[in-house]
Amino acid sequence: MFGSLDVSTSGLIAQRVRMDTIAGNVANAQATQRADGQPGPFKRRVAVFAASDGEGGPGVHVSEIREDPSPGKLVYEPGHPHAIQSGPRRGYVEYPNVDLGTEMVNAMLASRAYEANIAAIEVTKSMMSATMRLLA
Amino acid sequence: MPDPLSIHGLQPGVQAGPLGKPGPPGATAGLDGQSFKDLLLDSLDQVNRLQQEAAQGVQKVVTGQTDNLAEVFTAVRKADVAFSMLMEMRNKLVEAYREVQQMRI
Amino acid sequence: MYFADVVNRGPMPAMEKMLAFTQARHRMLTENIANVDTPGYQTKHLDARAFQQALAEALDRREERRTPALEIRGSRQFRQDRSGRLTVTPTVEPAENVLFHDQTNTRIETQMAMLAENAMMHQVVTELLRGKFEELTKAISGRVA
Repeated sequence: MFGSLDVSTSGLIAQRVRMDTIAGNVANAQATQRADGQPGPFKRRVAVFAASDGEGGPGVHVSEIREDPSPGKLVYEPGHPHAIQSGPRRGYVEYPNVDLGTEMVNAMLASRAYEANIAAIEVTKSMMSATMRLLA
Repeated sequence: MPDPLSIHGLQPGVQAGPLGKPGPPGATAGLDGQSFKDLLLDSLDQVNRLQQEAAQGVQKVVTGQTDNLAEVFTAVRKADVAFSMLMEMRNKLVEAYREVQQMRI
Repeated sequence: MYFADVVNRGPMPAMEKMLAFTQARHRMLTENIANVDTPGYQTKHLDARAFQQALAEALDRREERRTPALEIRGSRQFRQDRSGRLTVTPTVEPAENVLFHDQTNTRIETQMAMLAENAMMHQVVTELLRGKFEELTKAISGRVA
């Protein structure tokens, strides 16, 4: 039954990484410049889950944190330091493709899944206690 | 005078026959045609095997090779029960032997 | 096989098989719960009713044939090898309910309910088994207390 603990723990870790990603998205919802210096606004990140704990065992893990390439909102702000300088979209500022509503819902889902894994751990613990009474 | 129950020594070839008489070699008594001596040796074997299984199971749990706690704990408990049974059998046998020794004939 | 008989007669073997099943099912359910948000994950199933039925049939068969050992008729999900050990394999069953947009079919509520129910069954059987061992120990020592 220790294996079940590992499985649930992998679930907790994966959901926490997802929450961190969501928190990052929300924090950067207005960031019109990328952190790595490349042109363009912050792009929303998504934690991609895959079955197995990443090392061949059972459970779940985050296989990658992918950037969502979809375009963000364009707002006409010619004076903005990050406004597009040339081309058909001159004068527009591209904002991140983060929709707060979506991030909120995802945060709730991640939280619910996190709670479920905690509950599963509690059940595993009581099963193990019960089994140990066989020895008594 | 010869010991009525022939428990003394359990010499090979002499088996405890029906109550009171040392049976001729080859005569059997007890469950399923087994002699009492065979039964005892068989029991020792079984207890030994159960204890080995239990020990192996415990080792597997401790080294993380198995997850199956119920199976291992059951094996441990079975080994305990078997050993207790063997001990009780031994105690009863010793008691019986002492009683017989004290018999005045 | 005197000692083996004491523990292998009566309800004890059936209880041991049940525990093997509940442990495997518990593990499977925790996997389903951990993967509730994994896209494309197919929920694994273990049919508890089918197993209980197979156990009941095996017990009846043992009664009729007077064989000492409990023989469970195997299925895709569980199989008993020659030494009597039970191996349990969850299967992936096609979704009988709606597939969600990320191609998963786990309803977390169902999984949690099954987890609780399975754990209870495990605990009940463990207590019963423990009771049997206590009975044996008392019988051997000849003392009731």
